Amino acid sequence: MPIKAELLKELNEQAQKVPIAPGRWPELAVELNQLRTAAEAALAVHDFDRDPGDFPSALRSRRA
Amino acid sequence: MTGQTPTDGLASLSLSDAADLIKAGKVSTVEVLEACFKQIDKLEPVHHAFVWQDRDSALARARWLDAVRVKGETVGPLHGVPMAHKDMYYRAGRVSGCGSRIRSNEPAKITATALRRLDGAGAIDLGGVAMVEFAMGPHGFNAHLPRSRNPWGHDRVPCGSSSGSGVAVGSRMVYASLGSDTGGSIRCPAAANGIVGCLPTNGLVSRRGAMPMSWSFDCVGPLTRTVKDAARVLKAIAGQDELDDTPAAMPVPDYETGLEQPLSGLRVGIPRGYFDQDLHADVQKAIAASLEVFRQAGATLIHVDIPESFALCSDLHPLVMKAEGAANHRQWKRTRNAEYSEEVGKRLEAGYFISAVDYINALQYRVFALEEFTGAVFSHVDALLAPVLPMPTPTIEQTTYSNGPAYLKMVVAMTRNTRPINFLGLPALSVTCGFTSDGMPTSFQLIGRPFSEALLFRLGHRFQMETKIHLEMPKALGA
Repeated sequence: MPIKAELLKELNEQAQKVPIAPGRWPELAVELNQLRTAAEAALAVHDFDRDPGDFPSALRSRRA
Repeated sequence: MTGQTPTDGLASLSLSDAADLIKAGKVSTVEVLEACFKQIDKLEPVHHAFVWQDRDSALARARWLDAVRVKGETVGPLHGVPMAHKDMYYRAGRVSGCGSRIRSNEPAKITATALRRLDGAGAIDLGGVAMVEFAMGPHGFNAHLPRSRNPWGHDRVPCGSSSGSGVAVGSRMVYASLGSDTGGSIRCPAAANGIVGCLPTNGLVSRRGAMPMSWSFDCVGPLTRTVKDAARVLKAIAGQDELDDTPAAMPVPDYETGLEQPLSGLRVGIPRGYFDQDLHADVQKAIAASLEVFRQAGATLIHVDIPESFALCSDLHPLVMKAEGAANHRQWKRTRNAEYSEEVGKRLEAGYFISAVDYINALQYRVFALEEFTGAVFSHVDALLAPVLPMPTPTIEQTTYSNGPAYLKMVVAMTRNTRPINFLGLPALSVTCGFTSDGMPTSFQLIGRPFSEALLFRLGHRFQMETKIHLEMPKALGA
């Protein structure tokens, strides 16, 4: 189910409290849905055992 | 658009040549600095590369450096070289505005490690150069500053966010400039302004004292006129920092030592997939010609398939960047929102609604994607050659802020080839490789394994020695 502008507006009022122009909510919903699509696509290979903080060591282990 | 005649003998030298002449006593630091002043006086009224200049301090330091050299000594490999850096590198007591109104009156409390190291290598810090507000945007425009002009075409964008760095070095105002690259902000302006840009491996250079934009991706690196210059500057700034835990605990090689080594035995990858999509014919032609240069220089060309996960890296990059950027700016967004430009203020907003779980999963995916990409690519080749900008340098009109789909499409397209490399944390070297049919420079990027900067410099240097394209001068310089 796509993220709706009303949900974002509610979240902002309850938590983030940043000033956002009224006309922006529909645009933000489109942008957030694109980002959510990418996040869902990553889940196919998501490994919950992987520590995101290990990225520097992953880099070091792949040097020539 | 191009010519071969340098407008000013000293200002048009490479950093390495200028430094070597100073070291040999053939020219003084003051003479070199005054040549830069002359070039700035001539072009700055139109090019708007600088936010501020401190000529008195620069001259005082130049005189001191000359006094040191007269005694037969030099401070370091950058002795007497004038530079000016993206206005986001802090120096204690000095204001670095970060291209913003919000930071425009706040003196820094610390000095950036990269600046301290350049000082220690003998460089002169001449001023702060323009940037996109808080480094958030690829086209180079900042609503708070005069428009920085691309020396190759005043109707074209300089790209960003290190816009002033690209313009100042491309206009021969200074010999090098530190930029920062979170999604292409060193490589894109280097490409647009016909110079070299180096994105180091994530974690090679300390970020202490550099304005944070997105800590997972931010990298500090140089924009220069030659690959050799980039090698010299990177050597000066790279390596462990007792004040910043992020740089990797490994020795930094002398990148200049291996520059002249032959290319025989090296394998250069031609990407199959992703980079060949939506590629303008002019850029494609320049890339093909570049590959032929490497083949003739002794490298072996090998086609490599880009894994499908690479496109997802491109899509996930903004998720991480926006979440981190939003976190950095939350308090200012709440209390000083009116001080952001409309364009950058809006760019931050989506980050406030990204879920923590999506953000963490994206970072976990990063490790997987790095494993897959290095396995798929670097088990076959030593470096991958890909375009930086997939299109000729856009016009100002094409990138002027609006709510229209054409603007959004262009802004996203400008970093499509660069941002996945930041996601993977890999090093990339942007080198001018030719000109599109409108006379604008275009560049390839050499992408390598983590910490393979020496190899990328070797390849890039050989390309410059074979083609001499880097000696072409923008028409705006009065050739």
